[in-house]
Amino acid sequence: MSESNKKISLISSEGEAFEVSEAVAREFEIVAHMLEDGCSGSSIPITTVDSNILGKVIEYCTKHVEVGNVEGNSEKAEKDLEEFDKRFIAVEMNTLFSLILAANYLNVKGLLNIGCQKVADTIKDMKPEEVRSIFNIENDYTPAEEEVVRKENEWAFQP
Amino acid sequence: MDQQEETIEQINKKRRKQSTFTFPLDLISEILSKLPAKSVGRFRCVSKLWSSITTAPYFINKFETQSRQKKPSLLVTFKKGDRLFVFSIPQDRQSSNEPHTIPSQPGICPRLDLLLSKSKKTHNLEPYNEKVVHPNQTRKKMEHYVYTYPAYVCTNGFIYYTAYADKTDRIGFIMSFDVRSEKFRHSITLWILQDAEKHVWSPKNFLVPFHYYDQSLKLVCNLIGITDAGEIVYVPERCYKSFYVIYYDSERNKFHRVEYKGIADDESRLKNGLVRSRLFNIPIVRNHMESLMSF
Repeated sequence: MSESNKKISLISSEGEAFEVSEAVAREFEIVAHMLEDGCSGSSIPITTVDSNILGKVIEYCTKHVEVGNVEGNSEKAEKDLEEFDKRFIAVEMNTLFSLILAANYLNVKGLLNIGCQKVADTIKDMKPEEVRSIFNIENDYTPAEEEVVRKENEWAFQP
Repeated sequence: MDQQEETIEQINKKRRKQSTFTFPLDLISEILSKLPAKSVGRFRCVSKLWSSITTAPYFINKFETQSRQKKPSLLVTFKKGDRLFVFSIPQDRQSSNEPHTIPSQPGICPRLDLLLSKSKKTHNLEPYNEKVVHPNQTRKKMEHYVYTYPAYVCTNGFIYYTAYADKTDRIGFIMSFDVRSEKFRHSITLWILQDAEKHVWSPKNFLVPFHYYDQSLKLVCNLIGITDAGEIVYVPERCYKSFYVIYYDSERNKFHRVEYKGIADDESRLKNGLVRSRLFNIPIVRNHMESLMSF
């Protein structure tokens, strides 16, 4: 716990510094590894994440560290955290994608998990065409090929 | 990455464009593995890449692992002509004694023939004293599963053998069969594994009938097995307007009834062309987990 008083600056892609406690910074596994590898500098550049998203990821990690430090009443704390996660992830698709990419890069597993689940929940009832536009995917099937795949998976198109 | 003088629209456009290039494959696979099986099937039409991701053995295994972490469901099926209707309904875990209603999501299961042939393998008892003991032909008909090499113990005119509610069930029944009267015992002994390493089992007796008569519904319900949560499940032999499942909570010694909407009511009958059909003998698969194995 003594380490948690130490402050570390995380630098976003725009060069903005976010000062966090070491405990929060360690929630980013990539940072934890850097610290273990002897990177003792007090500022760590996170070049692929912008300020907006980095701020959000820090907010997520701070909350999770806080709750993790509280002992006792774990059931209530867990429920609170669940509520927090739910609110935290209720953002529009592009922000959600950026959060997932950042969580993946920084290796924040909890955030990565709830982010992917949120995307899955959002797209689960969509048509393939809608999913293509969300993920910006070009349809590389010829109409005949697509027909075959649709037929193979016909059951999945029934209401 | 984003220039401040750019408008939000431009930024979003840029991000969208980037997502195609920078969204790593393993993240796409992660997202898809969290979808219901039906969505996975549909999204195989999104692109060749998505199809190859979701048909890869790695993905199919991953999907199965994810599926196990979710709540299991009951799979209700009935047949009309050459069509097989499958409804996946949440397996209730509430233990309230009040009858309550849960909306159900109708669905069609792929390759159900496979699913059923996989899960409904029943082995009958071997001949005993030149008398063929055939559980399924007796009055106390009960669907259960006996492993290929069941251990029989014959004593005082009874055959005891282990039966399982399905192939994956760890909690089995000890069935007793009276050779003279050809009757199965009404009571069920559950052998509960207390310590897997030391093989400590403890028997627990339930005075649970194989059939349950629901007074208010005036319906006979058959025991179909036990949920992961330890509740004993009965389903009616036939259903009219509503489909019910009766759960028996052995700890509280209480039965409670759950009505599932969207299976047998007028609207869904109309939709499925089953307006005047009688629906009965509904096979049910408990603790169903979604899997992509069979398709």
